Amino acid sequence: MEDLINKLPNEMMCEVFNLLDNEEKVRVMTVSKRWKMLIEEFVLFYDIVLTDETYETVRERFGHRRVGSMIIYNYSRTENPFTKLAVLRELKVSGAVPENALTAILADAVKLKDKGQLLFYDVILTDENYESVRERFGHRRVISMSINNYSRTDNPFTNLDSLRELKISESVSDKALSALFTNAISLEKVFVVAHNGLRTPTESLLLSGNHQRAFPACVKRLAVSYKENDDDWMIERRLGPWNTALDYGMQNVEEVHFRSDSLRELGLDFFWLLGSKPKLHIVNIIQKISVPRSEHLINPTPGDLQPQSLTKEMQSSLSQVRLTRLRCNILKDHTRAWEIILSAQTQLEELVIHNGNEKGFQISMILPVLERCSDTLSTIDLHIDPSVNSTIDMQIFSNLEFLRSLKLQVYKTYTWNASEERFVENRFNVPIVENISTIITKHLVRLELRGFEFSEEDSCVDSEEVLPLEDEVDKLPHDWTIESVVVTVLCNIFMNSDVDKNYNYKYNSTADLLINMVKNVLLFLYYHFRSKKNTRGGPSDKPQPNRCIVLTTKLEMDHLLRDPEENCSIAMIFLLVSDSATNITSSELLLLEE
Amino acid sequence: MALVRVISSDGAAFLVSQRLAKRSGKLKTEIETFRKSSDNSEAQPEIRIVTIRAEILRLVLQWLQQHQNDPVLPANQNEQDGRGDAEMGQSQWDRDFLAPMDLGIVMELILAANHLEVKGLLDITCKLVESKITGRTVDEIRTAFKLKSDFKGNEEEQTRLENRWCVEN
Repeated sequence: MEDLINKLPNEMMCEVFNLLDNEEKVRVMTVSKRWKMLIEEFVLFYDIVLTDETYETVRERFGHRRVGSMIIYNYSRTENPFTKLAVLRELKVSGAVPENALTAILADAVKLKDKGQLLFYDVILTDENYESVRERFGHRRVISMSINNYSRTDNPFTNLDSLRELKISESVSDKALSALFTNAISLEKVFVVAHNGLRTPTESLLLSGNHQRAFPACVKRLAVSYKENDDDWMIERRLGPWNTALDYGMQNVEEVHFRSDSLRELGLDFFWLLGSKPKLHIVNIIQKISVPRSEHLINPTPGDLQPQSLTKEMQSSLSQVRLTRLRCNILKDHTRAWEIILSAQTQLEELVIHNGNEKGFQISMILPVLERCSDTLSTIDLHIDPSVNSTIDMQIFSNLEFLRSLKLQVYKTYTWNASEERFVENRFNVPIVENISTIITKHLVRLELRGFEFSEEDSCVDSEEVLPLEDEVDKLPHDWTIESVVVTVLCNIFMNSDVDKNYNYKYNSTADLLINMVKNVLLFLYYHFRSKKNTRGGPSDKPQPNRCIVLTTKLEMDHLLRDPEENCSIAMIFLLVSDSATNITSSELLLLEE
Repeated sequence: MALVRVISSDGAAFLVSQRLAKRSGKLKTEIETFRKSSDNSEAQPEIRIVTIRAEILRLVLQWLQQHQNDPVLPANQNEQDGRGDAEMGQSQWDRDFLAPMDLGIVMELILAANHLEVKGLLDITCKLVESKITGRTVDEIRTAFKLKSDFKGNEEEQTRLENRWCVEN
């Protein structure tokens, strides 16, 4: 019998064995003498985790084996559990591991000292521990570091070439950062964690522009996490931390992710900063949506951030920006912000604007973006302000050839009623949507319209006349490949609702709500499924039945529910899962196939 | 287009572009050596690979052809670590390429890839062999690789007892 694997020389065998995980390496030693010899003599064991807790296990299992790489944390013992560390090639050590514990391990690690990598992570630098950090890590390779409460302007490190990840608290001065990171050429991730409000020095530096070299140009991904103290929510200007991070000369940043609990403003200077990053292509702004808590939120003062003129230099730098995804909550100076975004080579694929309680977002403001990005936009999700948008003409989206998902939702605004000590919903006329059929393209897979009325020609069709709506169906492209398009309109659900002084939505009852919904909901469904089987007859040459159903206010919901199969030939499940505001907002009318 | 003749151990000649051939570290060195020693800059290099038969050489060249636009991986790329990164570079085409091969051919491909210094091919073939080992019992491994136990007396049992923990896990 041919001994296949023994054809391979030792070197190749070890290539294969090195791909096995540690347990497999040990387990297959019983296959043959040669395998055992190779694994014992030549194969390395990787990613051994040494802690005080794992010490005994590690010593027993790997103490006599050749260890290639190891990670040490939560470790304080001063004995070395290994006898064969000469070939150790990579050692990652937490900055919290004491030096005497490390000394014992390093004593035999000959190769590590010569050609290997001794890397330290989670090193913490503060004013207080400056000297000990300089002494222990100043000449070593640090790959991740946190800096808190630090104001010194001298650099304890001789070399920060290996630093990849950095966390900075807000209490670190700009000058200190500047001194530290002029040579951190490998920095990839910077996390700025801000607490408790405005950072004045940052603002002044931002304006003076004297800090361009504080961060190296190699940072590619920036994540800013912003936490706000509940008691300080009224402080309006909180842009310091991320503006600071963005503005520290990170010319090669490719992704920017912001997370904030209650951020309310994205000003022009923010976009100016984005615009100055030539390689930036992903901007992700995440905000936890919360119920309005103050009059201050309802009536934000516009123009806090002074509009800046677009200089030629700015336009020049913006021209290199390629934004592909923009999600934001609030555009304070919409027109100027879009002007800046459009100065870039914007190729948006995804546009999400949730305006929260900011007023004044007119859908016409995005027209230049729609025009610019007609070849790329595939996802749009917008909150529509009913006070300034009385009509939505869907034709504005009709030139978006690759649009796959379009969501428009009318959002509600509230005003603080001082006498009643509660928020009262502002009532506006429900915006009217027109020309829906102009956006039904073969790429569209989801269409969701919430809180709108529909124009007469789109909605006023009697149920008896529309099943099936052959004429409408014929307008649909025959090569339509989508599973379904559902237009769900939940109109005025909250018309009779309010929030109490505890900021909870309040309803009379679930039953009342249902009645209101039945009365107020305009359900407008285009439903198309691509079954080749014609449910009303034999097979058809062209895709059939292209069932299109239009339900309007003229169709009473109870009629629909009474005998949906007979009327619609499809089952309809009306989900009202809860009387909580959140769930009702997201409740859906689902259509299932027969 | 500059060409090079690559001749297998059993005498089959493969005419390939020098650009393609140079993606093999070994062939690249041979071509450059030929250039330096040849007076005629137009002369076509001829490289004899005495350790690789035609069937295997054809597979190596086929793999190189498919991956001709990939970045060339240095042979010592994983020296620091020792672990391959075969999975990173394995495409559906690679999987289809390897799927019909029996282990004997794969072993020969490993040897050929090593000899010709084709790092990517070496990685995916080693990974394939590794996949034939991982998760299998010792008996299954022996069957797959047509191996016989050569332990004497209670050596095998002794080894198993010493490493009982990895079975218990």
